[in-house]
Amino acid sequence: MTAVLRSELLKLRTTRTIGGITIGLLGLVLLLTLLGGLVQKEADLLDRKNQFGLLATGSLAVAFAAIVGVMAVTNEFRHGTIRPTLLAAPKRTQLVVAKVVASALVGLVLGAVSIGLSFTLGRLILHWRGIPFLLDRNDVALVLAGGVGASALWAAFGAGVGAAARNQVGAIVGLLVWLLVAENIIFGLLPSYGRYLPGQAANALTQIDTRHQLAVLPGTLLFLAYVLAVGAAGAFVTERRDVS
Amino acid sequence: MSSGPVVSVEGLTKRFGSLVAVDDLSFELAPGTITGFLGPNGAGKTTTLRMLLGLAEPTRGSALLFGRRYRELDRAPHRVGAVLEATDFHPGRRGRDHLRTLAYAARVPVGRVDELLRLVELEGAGRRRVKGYSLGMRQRLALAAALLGDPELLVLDEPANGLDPEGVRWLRDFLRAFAAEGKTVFVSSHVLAEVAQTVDRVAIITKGRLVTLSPLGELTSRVAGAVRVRTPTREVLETALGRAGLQSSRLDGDGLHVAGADTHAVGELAAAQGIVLHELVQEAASLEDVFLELTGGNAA
Repeated sequence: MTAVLRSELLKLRTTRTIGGITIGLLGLVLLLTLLGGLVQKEADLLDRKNQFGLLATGSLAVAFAAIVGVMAVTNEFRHGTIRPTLLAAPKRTQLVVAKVVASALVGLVLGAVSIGLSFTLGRLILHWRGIPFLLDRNDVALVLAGGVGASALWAAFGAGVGAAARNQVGAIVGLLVWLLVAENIIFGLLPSYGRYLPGQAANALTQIDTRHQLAVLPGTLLFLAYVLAVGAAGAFVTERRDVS
Repeated sequence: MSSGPVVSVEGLTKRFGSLVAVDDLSFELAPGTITGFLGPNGAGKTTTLRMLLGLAEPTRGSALLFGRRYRELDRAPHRVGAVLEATDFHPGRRGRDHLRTLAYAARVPVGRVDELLRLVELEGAGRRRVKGYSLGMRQRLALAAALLGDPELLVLDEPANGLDPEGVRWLRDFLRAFAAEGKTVFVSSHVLAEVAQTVDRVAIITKGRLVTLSPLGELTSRVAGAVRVRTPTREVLETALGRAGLQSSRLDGDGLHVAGADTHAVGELAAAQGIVLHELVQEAASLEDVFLELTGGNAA
């Protein structure tokens, strides 16, 4: 298991994909944190929820992390490396688990640098503008641990989706359409049911005071269950389907 | 090393919907042999190899390596090395890194990677990204990946595709040296000439069925060859051949093509009749003819 995991981590480190994604993510977080911190009115930033949002800008790492996870699997099918990979590591469930774990570790790092940037920059901006800091220790813990944890879990989720779908474009488009469009429509129409959908459950880790949102612990556990379910589906499909 | 067959395929069948890609295929390969797996494109060679290597599941039958399914083989990369497609690389990954990722998964010391890069003559190129590689370099990198675990069996699907004549020769020499160590090679091709100088046995399949599995020499003797002969007294020789029950047809100038004969028979016949010969040649294309005949192809 550790051998296959090491192999998967090396795969993620030896292309330019992660580097490009990290640069894109940090650039976007920098821009959005500066905009949010400098453009928002002082009165708006005197609100706990808005301060939380500013410091947690880096939690948009979850989208990048999910894509890293999808690509960790679908790149193998896209470039045909799945064949040499399965010859070297014929135990397929083990391979999927290694990819899920490797993606989660990369997601963790992406989340850490991204949240680290927005948290530090956001606090500096608040300090510089003389706005009192309204978040308590629990809030700070949630910004940091929630953002990093969500990013790791989303990367794992993406790897499961990638293993179940195999097709890179299909998996990425499907995932984004589901999260950004379908879930929001369902949540908007039926919030009492919609809040149990994966994306809404995961929001418990990166948002506060959203109406109908699950609390941190049940939201996290539910999303973790989704991650495990999608991973199991990916392993099931990978075990059974032929590799052409 | 085990004494039983290295490869044993038994009643192997693969259906894709109504298409039968591999149809009740059975054969065995003994250790230390180099076997060519031949057939026209679409004959089911790649599908057979995919089932053998655990990438695809047979619809029926079994394909075993050292008596086990590939996916159940203990330390599989140390027993079997394979190249299915020479293009299976992430273009943005360096050649050496490609091998390192596989070495990790196969539990092979990373020192072996540099050893193999030297062997396939990619020492310098290993530091470059694969997108800058020629097809020949990719073939060699894929071969290096197959050799990581120092396997006893090497399975190669169309390894000569895209190689220049020098590369084909390099591959031939390599495979011979590999087999000389008592190891086994199973190499597919749709062109007999590519492997004729390398293999000692051929398994020929067409439309998913095994046509023959025999030593290369036996295959050529299956069809009597043909002889090309030139003589200033063609009519006399024609008559003599006809009396001896040999069919001949006229070639340009003063030549004759004698089917189903060898040079001994035609030469002795001519000598007995006192006929002067200017040329007496065994037609060597017969191997390809056998292949085309057995696979139902047309001589192009």
